Amino acid sequence: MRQSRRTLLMALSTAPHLRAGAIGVRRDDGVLRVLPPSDFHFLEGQTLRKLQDGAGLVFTMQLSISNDQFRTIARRQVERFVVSFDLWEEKFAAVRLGLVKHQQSHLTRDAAERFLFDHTGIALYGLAAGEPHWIRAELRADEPRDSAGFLLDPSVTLSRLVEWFGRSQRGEALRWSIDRGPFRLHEVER
Amino acid sequence: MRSSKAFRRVVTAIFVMGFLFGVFSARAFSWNAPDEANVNSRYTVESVEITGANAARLSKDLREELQSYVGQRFSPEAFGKLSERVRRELKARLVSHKLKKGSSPDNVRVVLDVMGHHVVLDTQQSRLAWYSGQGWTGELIAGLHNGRKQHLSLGLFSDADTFTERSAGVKAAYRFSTLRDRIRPGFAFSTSHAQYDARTLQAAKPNDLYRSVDSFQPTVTLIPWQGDDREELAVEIGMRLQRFVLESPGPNRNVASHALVNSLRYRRVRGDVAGGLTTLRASYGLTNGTGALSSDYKFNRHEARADVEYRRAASRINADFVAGSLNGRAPLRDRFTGGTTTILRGWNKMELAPLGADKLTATSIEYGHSLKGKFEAAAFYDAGSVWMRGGTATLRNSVGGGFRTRDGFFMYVAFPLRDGRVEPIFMTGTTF
Repeated sequence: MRQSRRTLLMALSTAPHLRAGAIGVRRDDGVLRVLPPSDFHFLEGQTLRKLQDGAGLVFTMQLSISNDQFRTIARRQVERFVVSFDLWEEKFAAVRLGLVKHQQSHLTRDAAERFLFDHTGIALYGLAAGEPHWIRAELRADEPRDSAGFLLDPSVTLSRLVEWFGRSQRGEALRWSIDRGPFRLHEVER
Repeated sequence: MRSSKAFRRVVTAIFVMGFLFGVFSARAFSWNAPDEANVNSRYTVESVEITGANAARLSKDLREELQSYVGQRFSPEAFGKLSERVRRELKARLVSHKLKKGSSPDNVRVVLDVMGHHVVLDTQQSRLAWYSGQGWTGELIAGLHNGRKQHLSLGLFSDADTFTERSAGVKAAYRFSTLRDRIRPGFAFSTSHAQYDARTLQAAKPNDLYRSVDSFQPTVTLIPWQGDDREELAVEIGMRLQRFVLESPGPNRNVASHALVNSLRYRRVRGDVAGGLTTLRASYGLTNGTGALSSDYKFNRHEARADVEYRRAASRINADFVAGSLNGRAPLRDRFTGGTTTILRGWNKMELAPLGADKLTATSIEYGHSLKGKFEAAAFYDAGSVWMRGGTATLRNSVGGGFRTRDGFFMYVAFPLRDGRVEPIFMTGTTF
């Protein structure tokens, strides 16, 4: 058991794009939001090249807050975004998906990255202000895939099933993770 | 006992509900971004280009559909699906669509980038069929292919449909293509055992029947002409090295039936389903058992086939014709049969020719009409004859109908038309 746990920790520590760095936190109208470190960028490299090729990438941002160093999660919030790059204006656009959509265009790269953090927050209601807390922001970029289309296609045959299960998973996710703690909620600035 | 049944029902219900939930949640929680979320969806598509592969290898339908997006707003979802269709048709490892600036602001060029060959495992040659009075036929063939470059297949079969006898064994084949798919060398190998119907055993002479057969057939297919919609003319030349172990108890039971095998094939596709799609296939094959290859059988076998399929909207009409002639002394396996799932449906082949025949002429007309989903109701009329050289050809007719699907399943009832008796024959089958 101990050995398998160690193996898991080693696997996590070598996972690509897994980053650790200090993040800022701020209160915004009863909601706790995070501020990424100034040197943290996820719109770069392969992700940036895909955006510059006209792709719209889906990002999933999860904020988790814990009062026992993530042994348990007190509260979490998940939001999904689409980021794209305007080919002619050479600016970014970001949309938060969901019932109430928020979108913004003509963004610089830094502003597009910040949009995701600015539009994800954890409600402070019910959290003890004087206790120590830890917060973690996890971000994942997913490539478009055809899983739903495949399942709903009426002409699914044995050959297509064999092909589908046999092919490599192209929609491999890129992940980032940053966290901070401990801090007390009453110390957090607005 | 009752509680165990109830438990099974609950488990089944949970499984079905879980599956349905999975399907619906897959639809609701698609990873794909909605079109309007991509800022480039406001631009107009100026052109659609393909890089990394020859666009002429795509079907005409798909090429026309790609061009139909020119002048429309860019839709990431539509091009995602089109990329997947291009990948499947070209058997590529990956096809991704990229946007480039067009010749003027507000216009973009869509480039479908085709990358690598996709090694695919398929079972497309596999089938399962049942023909009342003649039994099951099953073939499980696994194919491994790398685009159009190489194809390897290996499988097991028990076939009571193709030949006079039931043949059961293993087979394998390999071919590759070179010079832009214009030359396709390859070989096929099979080894099988035979099993005979009582009527065949009764009619056979001592050296007619064999116990087992091994066959090795190296061939080269040349493509002198290729049209713009996967139309082609193909010439296949090669030889068949075949060795039988006879059923007869004599001392020398090994005989050879080596032959030259040559064929000419033509395929043409015109139009589309909305306005009328016509597919024509024609072939001529000559198998020449010759002493030059030290064959114990010396014969010439000619076989000509043609079939035309016309589809328009929900309707389909097929007209097939096959004719064959055999001169000389050929093994049982090279003789013609009728009363199968494709030729003279409804007749029993043991009744028509228990030892096969030297001559064959058959035609078939089938009409199909699409129902809901992929199902189709079909009706057919078959006519033809199988007979021995010097004998009299008796015209046989049959009618029938049933259901089929576009992906190979069929379930037909056929009625051979004879004087005074109505004897339905049931047949069903599917391809995988």
